[in-house]
Amino acid sequence: MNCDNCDRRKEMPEIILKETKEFLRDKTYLFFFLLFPAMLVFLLGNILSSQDNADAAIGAISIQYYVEAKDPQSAAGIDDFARAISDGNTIKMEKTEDLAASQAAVKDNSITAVVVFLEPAGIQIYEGRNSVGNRTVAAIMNGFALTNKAVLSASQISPASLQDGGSVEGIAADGNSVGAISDDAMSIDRNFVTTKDLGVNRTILDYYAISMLTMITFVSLISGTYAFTRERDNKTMNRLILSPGNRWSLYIQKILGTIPQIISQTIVLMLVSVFLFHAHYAATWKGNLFLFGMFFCVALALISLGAFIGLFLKTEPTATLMPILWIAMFFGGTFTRMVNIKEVTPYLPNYIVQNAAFDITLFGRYGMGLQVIAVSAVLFAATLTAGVLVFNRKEEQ
Amino acid sequence: MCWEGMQVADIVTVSNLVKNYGDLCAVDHLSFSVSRGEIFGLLGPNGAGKSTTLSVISTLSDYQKGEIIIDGMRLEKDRMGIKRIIGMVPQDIAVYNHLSAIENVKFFASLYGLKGKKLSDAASEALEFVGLSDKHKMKPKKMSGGMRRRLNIACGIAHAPRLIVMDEPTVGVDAQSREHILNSIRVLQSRGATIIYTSHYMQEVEEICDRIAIIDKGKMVASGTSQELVSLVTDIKTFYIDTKFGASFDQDEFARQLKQLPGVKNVLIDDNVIRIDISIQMESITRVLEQVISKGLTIYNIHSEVPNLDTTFLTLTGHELR
Repeated sequence: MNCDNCDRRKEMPEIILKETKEFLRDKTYLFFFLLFPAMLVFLLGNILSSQDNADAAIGAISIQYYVEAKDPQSAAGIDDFARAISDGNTIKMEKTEDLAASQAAVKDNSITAVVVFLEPAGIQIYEGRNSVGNRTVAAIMNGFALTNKAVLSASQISPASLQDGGSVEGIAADGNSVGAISDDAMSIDRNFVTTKDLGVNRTILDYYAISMLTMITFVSLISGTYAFTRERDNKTMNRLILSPGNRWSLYIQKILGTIPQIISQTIVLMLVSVFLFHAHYAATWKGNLFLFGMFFCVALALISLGAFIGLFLKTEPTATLMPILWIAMFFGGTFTRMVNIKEVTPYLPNYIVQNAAFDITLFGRYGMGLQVIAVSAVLFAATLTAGVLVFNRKEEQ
Repeated sequence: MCWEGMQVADIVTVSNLVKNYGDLCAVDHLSFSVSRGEIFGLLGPNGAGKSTTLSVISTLSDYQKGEIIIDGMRLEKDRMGIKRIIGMVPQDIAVYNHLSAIENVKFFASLYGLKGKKLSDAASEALEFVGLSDKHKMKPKKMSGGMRRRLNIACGIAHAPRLIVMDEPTVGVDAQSREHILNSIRVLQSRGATIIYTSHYMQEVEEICDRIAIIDKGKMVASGTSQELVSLVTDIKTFYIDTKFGASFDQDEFARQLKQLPGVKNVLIDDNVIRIDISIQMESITRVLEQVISKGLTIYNIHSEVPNLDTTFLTLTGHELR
């Protein structure tokens, strides 16, 4: 047996398989690319969530309410409540006839929340992304409901006591007049206020789920650098070059060999963040797929860039590139959103990618993500071409 | 594994090879040929151009001038064809630490197009050949130095190359592993493979190589069988004079003075021992001894040695192999 009839460079699956095995068996890689980012999502998300609450001001609360009850008396009672609570400055409560439009306004962060006074009883709050604002709205509505419970109790014990007209209208949480409310509907044990997430109610965990995804994507730059420096360290580069086949083909295969790593690191972090730490990404499957696709493209471009750098790098890649990445991540808001330097932060690539991701997850907007994908594609093509040209001419020692 | 026979007598022919690194001429009009089925030793001190020559032959490096024909194929025309018949066993252990022994061999063999059962059989056979079949699941980082060396060889021969380039395959291994490796090389030869072999161990080269080429400063100094090479310097006789040098004694100057004596070919002073190669025509070493005594040195012992490859190398290149 000899290999005179060997096929030319059909070993792509072998190289990809080899790269995947090496990745999955390298404990350092697994720690840095899978475990460490997931741990950071959890640790930063939980540790900094208290800081987030403490630092945040309530600010203006803008509520739109929708009344299901057709009874004019009930509706009037609720309108009176809304007027009473609106101070014209901090809290504004406006009636809406278009529930869908109001829900969209919540998603757009134009208003804090939408409150629906349900028929026959209950209050439904559609929360926005301002967690402090959400809690404030819930508190207002709970206060409203409890006041009405008190009125109901008073009316049942001594109806005459309310005949003179107190300052509190006898309106139950469902908008009906006190006298019309059934015992069942106004049971004292009933939870009158319920909340519903429209998919935009965000916590600091969600922030770190995105920022850590950005982090591991950018650390792929180092991973790409290792594609060739590790072969050199293993002294296996010459063996690869000696095998029958073109160098350009080998170069491309080495880059493509990192695809399983990119996929696994992105998917694992997304799944762990969602299912273990209950973080949120996009509200829809489409959004999440787009998010994954965007990070995949960015990682592939960075791996290609890293591989190109690795052709020239004589020093240890992590020691050389990690400080640069950490500085970029620090000023790009990866570790805390409090750091934002106007002259620097908006121009950092990781910040731009992170913002594109937030655009997808928070607003369902894909424009910025598409731009990121386009730039990544150009970067990938440019660095791959340059890398092939250099690798073709480079002599290994 | 078996290696199919071929038509041309010389499997490698190198003519006037020139390879420069910038201004440095690493290989300077080097010419030699390797016969099919022989073990060809390439000897030279560090920086002589051995590795560069191997690198060019194995298609790793380009060259500026000359002609290289391997198995009837011209290197500049049919690089891919040449790659298919060459197996490289580099001086550095070139394996993946996260893959097991069998995975390593399979991976490198797969680069030559072997697949499926052929690939599994070739990998198992290569491991068995180097005596690692019982360690096929072991990862290199858990292996001893000798075992890693053997795995390094298995990775280079699994695809059954016709021409195997071995660059110091026994560096840093114990005597047992070295013996195993040398025996394996002989077996490879018996199966029809041609081997180009470099080593720093002169005895090893003398033992297994059919022919040897000595190169220095990129040029061919001499080539032939071990005996032919030694015969090139048979007019040389080596004497060892044990003495003791004072701390202020200028050994370099003394060596230079000894070299100027008629009939003295070479002088090497190392650790209170003066090694002198003199022409066999010289009837005595009286003048040498007179020179030693005149310097006030005490002679403790004198003995002579018949020339061997070591002496030949030293004589031809002017310095020791290491």
